[in-house]
Amino acid sequence: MIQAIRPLIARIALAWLLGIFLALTGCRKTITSTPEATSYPGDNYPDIFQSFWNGMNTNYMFWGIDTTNWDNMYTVYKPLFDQLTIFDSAHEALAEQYFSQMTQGLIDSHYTLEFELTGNAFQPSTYRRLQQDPNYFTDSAFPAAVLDSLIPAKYIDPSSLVMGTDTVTLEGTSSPFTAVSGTIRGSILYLYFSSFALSQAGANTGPVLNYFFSKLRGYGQFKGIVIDLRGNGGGEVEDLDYLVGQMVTSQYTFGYTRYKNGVNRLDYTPWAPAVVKPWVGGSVNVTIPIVVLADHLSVSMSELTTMAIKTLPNGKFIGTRTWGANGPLTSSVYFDGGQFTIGSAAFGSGGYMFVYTSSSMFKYLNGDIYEGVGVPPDIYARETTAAYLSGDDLVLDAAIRYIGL
Amino acid sequence: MRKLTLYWAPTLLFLLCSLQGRCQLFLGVEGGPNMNYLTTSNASEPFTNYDGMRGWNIGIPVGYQFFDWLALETTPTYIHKNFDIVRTGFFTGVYQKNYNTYLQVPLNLRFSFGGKALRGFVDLGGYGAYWASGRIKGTEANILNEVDTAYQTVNPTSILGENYAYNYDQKYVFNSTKDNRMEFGLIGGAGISYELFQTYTFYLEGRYYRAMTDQQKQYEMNQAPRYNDNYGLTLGCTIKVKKLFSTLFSKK
Repeated sequence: MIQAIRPLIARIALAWLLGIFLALTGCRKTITSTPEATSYPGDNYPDIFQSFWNGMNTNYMFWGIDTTNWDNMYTVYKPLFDQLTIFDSAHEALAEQYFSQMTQGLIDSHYTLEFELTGNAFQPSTYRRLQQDPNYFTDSAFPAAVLDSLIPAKYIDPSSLVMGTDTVTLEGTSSPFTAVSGTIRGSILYLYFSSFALSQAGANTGPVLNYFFSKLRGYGQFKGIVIDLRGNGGGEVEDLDYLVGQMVTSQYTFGYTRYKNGVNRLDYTPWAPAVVKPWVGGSVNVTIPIVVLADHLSVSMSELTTMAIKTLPNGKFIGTRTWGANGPLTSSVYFDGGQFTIGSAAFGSGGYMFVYTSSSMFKYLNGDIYEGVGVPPDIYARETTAAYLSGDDLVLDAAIRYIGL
Repeated sequence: MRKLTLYWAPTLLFLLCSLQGRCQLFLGVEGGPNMNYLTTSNASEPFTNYDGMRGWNIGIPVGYQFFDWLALETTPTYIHKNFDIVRTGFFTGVYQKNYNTYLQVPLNLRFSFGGKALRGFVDLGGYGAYWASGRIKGTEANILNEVDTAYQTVNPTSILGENYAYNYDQKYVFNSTKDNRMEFGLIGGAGISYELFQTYTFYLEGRYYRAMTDQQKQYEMNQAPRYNDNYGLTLGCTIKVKKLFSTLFSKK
């Protein structure tokens, strides 16, 4: 019998071999080498679109939680960009409109498209806030200039007031840096500064910081400390340890960050602890209440600092929900994801467009991610124009009450 | 049609041969080291290499010897398919070792040739595998743990001079959107065997497992696929069950 079926078995074995050969040659998907976004020529709109779409695919940090359908953007907008045949003002206006429409739902609240040909910019988070509330930036806002005048004039004990303004450079742009410190009713140590550029404090603001930190060393005379970050647009990460690290004597974790570690959208590193370390120049273990004031215009490092302070057992956040840009951001050379430029080959080092976006995703200690939604306050307090005009800072009043004066 | 041939041909062989008294059931144990590579595209990841990593596998081969020259075999196997993501240059020190364990069931034909005791053989077949668990161990630069908080404005020579390293060694948490835990692929192998007392067969084999399915689900357009390529060296021993029983229970 076995001899009789021998030819059949041989045929089956041959078919098996053939099947293996066909499977070997036919089944794997082609592994294409998608270049870096910056490597595209960028000398026509379809190429710029492709470069941007791929750059976002690879570099954008929040695909894991963002609801924008990026594949759908490709399907919808590729044909539209294919119709843009030459660079002229009409086509450029359309291109900028398309790029803005593609990105308007992104939750990254640092995210900004900077169009180098026209100098225009589009920030989805600003767009969305103005859609929801046209008066977002005016109604009940508490601009830095107002803060400078009201608090020093009404709240700070005159004999203790120190304030000044210098010029600092953040991300290549010069801007005024104002700092105010002093005591309130002799029992609260107060500090305000307009951006996280503490390392750049000069002749006028250096004494303000020196005053605050020297008083901090002997904090026993106070009932509480107020750090005012309202309207603060953020800045250098190093300031976290420099400021908060001078109020603690042991390292602690207040959240986690993670980064991209591959080219596909969901390729992430594990969460790394975000820590505050005691400052290398010295620190004290502050046990009295530390109140951080922040509002809807507190952005980035202001928000991280707010979360770092509210994590402390004696920390409290008073104010309104913050802007919602907590993903730390640094130069694109440092991490796999984050900001990138497209069209450099055709348009020079500035490129056609710069995409400003977070380098990492931040998760607060409790597991919540506040990107795009902002950090909620522990105690809600909101300043109004009417209150300001009558000489009251409702948020600082809430802090004073909380401290118990 | 191709799939039908792959799946049904061995089954038919098995059924046909089961009817024959000359079929020899064998089973045994095998194991050895392997080297796994993740084949993917990293063209848009500067200073990044995907390196191979060593692992090992252990399995229980079970098969039917139809003829001297042909056997059908399956070897339920516990196998590592590890790989390493290593950053270079300014980023040296940043890496992630990926330790992945699969439970794998291959089905292959073994074509043998040569003398009575010492023989050569070639294995060809396919496998299905389940990605059972993973562990990741590595170092990343921690953006919210700065080195230079004293504003010394030093120029770091590496990313870990700018940010403190975060070292981790933890279980890999599967992402149901991303991770494709079923893997199918092909087997190719060649080796030599030595038969002792017409009952025991010892063999040494070089084996290649080529994944034909992506390690990820298709969850985005323009996705860079990832495939395991696993090269192993296997030492094994099988026993012809019928011979063993007849030896053990034969009347002297």
